[in-house]
Amino acid sequence: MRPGHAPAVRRIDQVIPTLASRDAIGQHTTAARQVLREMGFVSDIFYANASADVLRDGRPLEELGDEDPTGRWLLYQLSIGSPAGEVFAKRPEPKLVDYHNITPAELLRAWEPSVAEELRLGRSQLVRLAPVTRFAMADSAFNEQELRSAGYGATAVAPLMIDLEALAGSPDPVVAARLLRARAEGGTGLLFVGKVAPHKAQHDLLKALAVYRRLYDPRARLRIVGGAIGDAYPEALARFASMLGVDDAVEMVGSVPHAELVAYYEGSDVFVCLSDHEGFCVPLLEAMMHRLPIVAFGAAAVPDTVGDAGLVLPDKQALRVAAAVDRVVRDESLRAAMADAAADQVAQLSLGPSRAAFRGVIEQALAAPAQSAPAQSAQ
Amino acid sequence: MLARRAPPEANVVTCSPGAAEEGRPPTADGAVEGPAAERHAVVTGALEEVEREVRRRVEAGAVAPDEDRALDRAFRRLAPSPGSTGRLRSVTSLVADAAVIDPQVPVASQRPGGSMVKRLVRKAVGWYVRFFVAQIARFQGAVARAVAVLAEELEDLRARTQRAASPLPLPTAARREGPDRAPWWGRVALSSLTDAPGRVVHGDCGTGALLETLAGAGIDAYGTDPSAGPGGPDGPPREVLAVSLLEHLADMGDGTLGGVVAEGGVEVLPVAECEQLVAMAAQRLAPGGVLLVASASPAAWAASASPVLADLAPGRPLHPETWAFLMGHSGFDPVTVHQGGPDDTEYVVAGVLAAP
Repeated sequence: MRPGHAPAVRRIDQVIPTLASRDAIGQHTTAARQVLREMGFVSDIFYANASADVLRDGRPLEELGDEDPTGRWLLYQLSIGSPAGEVFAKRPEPKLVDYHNITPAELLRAWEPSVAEELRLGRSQLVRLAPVTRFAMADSAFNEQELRSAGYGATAVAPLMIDLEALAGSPDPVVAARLLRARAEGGTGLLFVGKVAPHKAQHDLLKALAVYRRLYDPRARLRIVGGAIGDAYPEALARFASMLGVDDAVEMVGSVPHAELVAYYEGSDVFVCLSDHEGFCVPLLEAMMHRLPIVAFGAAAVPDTVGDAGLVLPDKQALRVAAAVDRVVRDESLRAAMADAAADQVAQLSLGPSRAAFRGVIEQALAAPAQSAPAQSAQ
Repeated sequence: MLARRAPPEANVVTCSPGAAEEGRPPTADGAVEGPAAERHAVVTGALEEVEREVRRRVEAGAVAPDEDRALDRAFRRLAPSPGSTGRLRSVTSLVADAAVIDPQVPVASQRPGGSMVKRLVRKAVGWYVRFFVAQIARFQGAVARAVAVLAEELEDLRARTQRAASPLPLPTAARREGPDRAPWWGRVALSSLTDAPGRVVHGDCGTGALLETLAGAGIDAYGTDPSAGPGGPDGPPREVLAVSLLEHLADMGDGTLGGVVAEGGVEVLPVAECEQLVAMAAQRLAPGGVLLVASASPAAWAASASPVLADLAPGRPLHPETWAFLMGHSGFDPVTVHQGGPDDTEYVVAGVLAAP
């Protein structure tokens, strides 16, 4: 049902800095367009940049002003600083913001100052968009709290819309066979999936691995799957692994096709995430999909995403992480409990409920008063 | 140093937020019942067992007390030199924010039909304008980023210049204690630190003689000394971390120390780092905590230091009045100055951190 508005809302378009097919926010944005169209709205995606395979799935930002603003609302997907945010801010249409969190710039400043600058700009835009935004949604309670701290008055939570079924699939047979052979030789297989970047703290994984090998399992291995942001951090990781004496036990896999990723999930014993910051962390959900037990540091939105599907630790002390991994590996009943919790968590975050939640939030947003008083700005 | 957000402690022992959202009936005290509650109990129990295991391993000495921090420091040394934030930031952010070109010319008009005409014109020339806008926007974006990176580099350079230290291996600052004898101001340290509200750290602890004195009086003290080997300098029995006092303070949490004793290296610290030392000690000390700074007087130091050290050291000893001023400025009250040593050529400044 469309709430009565004058003029009636006829289209809701989305603006996104970068539309990419293999990116969770890109997938979420595409799913959001489908829901909006199903609700009876005309809806397009306007991007500042796009990966080649989805260029035709949206429209360039330069065309944003081609449409009549009458009866039109705009929804901005905010996860990083971008000139697209400035264009969005200047538009006359009523505005919605969908916030996916922005990594604190200081986590990357020493390593990738250019990326850090984009993040800083993003935080600045988050605050500056608050007074001109009618309604804001976030994909976790943690992110909603950040919205309110930044000065947004009317907010709600709508989880990321990710097609979890697409995360399943058959493992790559070659990789699966290799991992099977490695497993047969013994040694716990630790896995982390995510960008190789300072805020994902793979260096803390190396520390934990070193202690785990020393105290619990000298044949344990760590596989890190994901592309890198820049060169400096991966190079430092390699040197650090050598310094810790675990370079032979660490495999920097890089970015892999989906079937290979499935093989890594299925060929590992425990997923370990020690990120300093996660706005949602889709790989945690993927681990749950593959019934892989989780040990994670409770940074940002991680506790919301994991629930009881893993051991969420209060800090990243290497000994604590190692002890938690040992506990998970040795305790079958714990793994079973976490797998059941994971199934519940996956069901809760699957596409059906997430789409319904998004639809509900859009209806709530359209019914929100035009001048919702923004809370006090954080800056 | 990477800033880390403290996680919500509730994750360790309380119900996850998701449980309540799943519609499971809560009990009178708000807990969740059913299979989810049983699973939660299993996970919570496992976390508690992990904590017991950690304590057991620590008590057994399976890991060194400072192992995590030492590894963190080692990794930080592999990082590119971090730039510092500063005044340039506000200027560069203006550049970044202004690096936007909106090709959508406003079409509002007060004349009848004017808006329609403008819209038609805009549409007609849109393809032409966008071609140039796309290139200019790319260029401006690149320039904005370049300016931001240059600003970072400049700030980094400035920070390095401020704390410029000679890359040469300078003679160390003089320590005036004997190999097994606490300094003359040991009694001042004892009387000041007896009721310290926490552990006491002695920077540049040398042979550890003062640590022994403090321990003999029942004061829980440990040392830092960059020259300490794995077992401490020349194998003293006390706990000694092989880092500088400033590095160690940077790693500590606020309000976690009962006392900070600084000597030796403070005599050659650049002025900016002297200020940093006092400010950081004020943060790391609990209320009632004590900061002691022991040094030679500037004149005595100049007379006794080696010519090479005197010429190339990044800093010189401050006057005791200067330390007292810095401490007072950072919230230490009272601050007292004690003169001593041969011909009163040395001093100790003791400040008590006032409650906020």
